[in-house]
Amino acid sequence: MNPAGPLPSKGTRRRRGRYLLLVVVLLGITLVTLDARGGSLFGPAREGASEATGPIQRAGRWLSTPFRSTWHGIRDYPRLKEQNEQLRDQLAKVKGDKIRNKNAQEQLDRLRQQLDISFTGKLRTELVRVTVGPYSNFTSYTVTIDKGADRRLKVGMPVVTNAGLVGRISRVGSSTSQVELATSPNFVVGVRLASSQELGVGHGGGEINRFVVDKGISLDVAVNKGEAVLSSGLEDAVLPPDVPIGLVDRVTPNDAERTQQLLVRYAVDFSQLDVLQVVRWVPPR
Amino acid sequence: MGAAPMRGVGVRWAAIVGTAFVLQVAFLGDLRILGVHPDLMLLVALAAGLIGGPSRGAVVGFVAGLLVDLLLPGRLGTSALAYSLVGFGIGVAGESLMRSAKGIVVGLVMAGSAAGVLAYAALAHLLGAGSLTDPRLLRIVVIVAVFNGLVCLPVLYLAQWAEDAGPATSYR
Repeated sequence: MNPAGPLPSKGTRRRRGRYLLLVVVLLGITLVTLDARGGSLFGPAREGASEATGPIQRAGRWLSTPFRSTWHGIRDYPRLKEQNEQLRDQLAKVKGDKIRNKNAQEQLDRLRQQLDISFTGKLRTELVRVTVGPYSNFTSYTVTIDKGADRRLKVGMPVVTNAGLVGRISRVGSSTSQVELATSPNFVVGVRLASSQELGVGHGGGEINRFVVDKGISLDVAVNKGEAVLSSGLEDAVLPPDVPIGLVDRVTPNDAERTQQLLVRYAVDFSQLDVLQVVRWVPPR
Repeated sequence: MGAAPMRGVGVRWAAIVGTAFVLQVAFLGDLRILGVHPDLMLLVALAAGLIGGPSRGAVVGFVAGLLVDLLLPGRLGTSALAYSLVGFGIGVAGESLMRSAKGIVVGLVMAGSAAGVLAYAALAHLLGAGSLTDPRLLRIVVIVAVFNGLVCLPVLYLAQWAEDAGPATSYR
């Protein structure tokens, strides 16, 4: 005999199960709706989860370093081999140019050291670490960093590495922030070509892992592969001027619009984001 | 079932979901196969449905999905909805099984995993994320399904422990 009374029949259990599913689905829809309406209702919960999982993730990474290194070694071998060959070619070229450029390079290096010139110029920066990477299997184009309003970070501040643009802050919590990566198709920014100073507009290329400049570069502008692409920093810009975005990888003419589409290889390796800098610059409203 | 045993089941499921969440965040999030990481939380929801029945699958799936949602940039509740639906669905499918050989159970888990990823993608797509048109969708479905199929047996044993199911409801 069952001490808790007779067991419910199969039909009763099924009916209860359906009611329960209905309740759970309604609860889910309520959460989605409340979140979609905006506001800060779930902000603290998300922030708490992000702060709690940061140390777990770091500990996991530390523990799994030998395994991950082995795994990455196996997985990335063909790509690394190809990169190695490219680097060998580049090294041979650099060796050839070395003697010719040595004097000028030394002078430039000394000047850089003296003046401490970087693309961030006189703008102050805040060093941050990535705590949670792109967690979703589906492309999310965001990472979470370990500083927020406690370090006076604000929405819209650019995030960079020494190599160039990473993205901009899209959400600020009390001690963490979310960064929208420059790979996002929604990341639109005015750009300038380094050699011709031609202005255009580009956006993240999403899955193709290239920044796409598809507006403003007319057909008569000579654009070479390898040309540097920087932020334009014009009025109402979302980035300060001269933040490196990357190097032109492919140029495709668009005869219908009389423009050229440039695919730009990002200066930053988005698969290796760790320590970043937030530039204390807020876009003008 | 009485209140005390129910509490025990709840505590055991909480321990499983919590452990799976830690493992997912600490290790599996970084273990990317062709850019896709395994989804242990979805597997836990499926195991709950298969072993504990549709109701358990719905509840455990909801909680597991909600934890995942806290880390995702999308709308809170999307994974919770998707995981609870597939947790319930696999529970119904599991109940109608005439026999529960390992091969059938693994196949069910793989199908449930694929359904879970597609359900999430469909819901996220409805909410404007464009996940159904993500060019990696098929890759994500296949990798998550295969991984969950490969590692489902230990998770199902844990689910049996949580339910204290005994041989009557265990798979063979």
